[in-house]
Amino acid sequence: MESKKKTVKLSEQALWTAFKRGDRNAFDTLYNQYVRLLYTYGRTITNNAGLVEDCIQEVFITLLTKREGLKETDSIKFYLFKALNRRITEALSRTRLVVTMLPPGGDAYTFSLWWTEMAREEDSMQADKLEACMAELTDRQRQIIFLRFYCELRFTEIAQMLGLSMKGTYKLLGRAIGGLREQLR
Amino acid sequence: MNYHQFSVPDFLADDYFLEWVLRPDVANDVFWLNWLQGHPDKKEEVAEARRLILLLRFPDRPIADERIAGMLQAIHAAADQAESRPAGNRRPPAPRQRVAAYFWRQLTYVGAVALVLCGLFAAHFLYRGAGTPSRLEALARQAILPEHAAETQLLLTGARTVVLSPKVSSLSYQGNGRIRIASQEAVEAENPGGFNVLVVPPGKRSVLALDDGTKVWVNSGSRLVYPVSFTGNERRVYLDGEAYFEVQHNAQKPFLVETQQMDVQVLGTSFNVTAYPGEQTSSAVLVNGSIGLIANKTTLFGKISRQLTPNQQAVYHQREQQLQVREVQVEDYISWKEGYLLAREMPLRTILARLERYYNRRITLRDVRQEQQTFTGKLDLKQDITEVMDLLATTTELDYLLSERSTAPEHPLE
Repeated sequence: MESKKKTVKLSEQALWTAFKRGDRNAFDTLYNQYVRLLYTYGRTITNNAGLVEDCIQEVFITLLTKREGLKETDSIKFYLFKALNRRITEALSRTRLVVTMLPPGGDAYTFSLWWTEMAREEDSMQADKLEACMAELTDRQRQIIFLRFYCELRFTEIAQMLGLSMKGTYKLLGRAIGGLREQLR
Repeated sequence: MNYHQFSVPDFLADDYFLEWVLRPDVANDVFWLNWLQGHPDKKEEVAEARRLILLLRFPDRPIADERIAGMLQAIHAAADQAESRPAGNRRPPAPRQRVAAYFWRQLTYVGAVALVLCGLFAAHFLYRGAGTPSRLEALARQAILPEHAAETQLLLTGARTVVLSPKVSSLSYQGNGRIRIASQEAVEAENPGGFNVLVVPPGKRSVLALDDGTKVWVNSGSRLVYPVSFTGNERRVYLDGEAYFEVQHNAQKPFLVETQQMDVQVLGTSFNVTAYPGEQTSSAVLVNGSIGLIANKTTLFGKISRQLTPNQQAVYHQREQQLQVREVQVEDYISWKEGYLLAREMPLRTILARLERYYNRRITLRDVRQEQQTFTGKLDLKQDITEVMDLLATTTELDYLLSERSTAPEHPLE
């Protein structure tokens, strides 16, 4: 039943193998395939566009220079998301270290949502409504909705990314969905 | 998998279900349609789960194709450099390629250290000479006081002055020293190495685009000093008064706003700075991005540095020499640039001071004690001042007198 899935996986696997052999075209394909997804994801963690761009570059530079030491991975996408998440979080905490006094509870890790003008025009009512509904969720709830339905990460990957058990991840998703359904009614 | 017990969230948590909704193919279609035939009682849950998945389509965040291509080139260049260092046995590239590679390598390296630099700036300030006004501040002091100016003035190099008569003037720096002024036909030409001063009197406002694309909304009663072109390794401006900044991101050239009492250091951010020389406090409100503040800058040892996160306001109290940070509703602080004033339990004293500056009128209360009252609401500053005051008066039972502000000498003895 997973024949299509397997061929997709195989080509991704082939891309990965080619890249590990030093094929720069394979690397470029990987980059172009994921860069917009990563950028959008990064911008949900921080509004600082320049910082996100810097971190994406660092992730890919590391990927390229350390490729011999990389394990076979079954999801390149997950590897990239995890690496970017770590980079940005580190960068944000590094900038915070400089601060002599931090406001209590002050946290640079915010999760914001946006809508492009285009998407608004396409379906303005819907977008407005959904945006309003998303605004009612907690940061963590918004994040799981985003990781699941925009990034389309697997359930186990989301659990790992958020540092939660499967049960905890399920509960969080359930609450987020519950909140959305209530709002959308 | 016990699909027959599934509720809506269970379907949404199932990878194979998500796959089917987003990328249906023969295999998963056959599987799920068959399953549905066997479980007709689950039809509604499946339909609802599908509806939710299809509703939750988020758009990509826009980023220019050139940025994406530029980043990729920089990645290759940085990786090439990292790899060629230990091996050393690679064939040197052709000279022309080498120049390009060097260029990109420099770029990536600067990008990589940008984050560290951000921290170093705080240290940089600690070594700046104490007590002496900076070069930019000295330039501001040479210009006319905003209260004494009748019209908005742009002071160019070589003692030339351009008068901007609109209530809200607008000008933009278009590179190579060319200045386009909205109210004028001609384009002014300036020496890119020089500094300009914009003086905005009470009752007027100004919007300007700087040479690097940064946008600044300058509020009534303010002075802004800035270079015609940002040529050095930082972008430094000086402000007396109030302005809202939308800084163009450039990790290689940090943006700095100096004021009399504190400095604000930026990477790529939107924020508001209020620093009227006559007032006891200066403040900065961060809308997005990240800024660092240096207060007490005229004393060598008492300097305070602090980082702000979005929706925070830092208020520097000159008398106590203290910097307070608190969470605020940013709209309250930047609404002036859209032409209205949002007040949340704001003392009348503060509101009247702002209105006086905005309308260039003197407002006198018959009972001074009323200054302590607070007001909450939205004042439309596009209305006439009497309409605004009437609204205030009906809600707070004010008794007030309006008068013209005393007109000042053309050239202050400063």
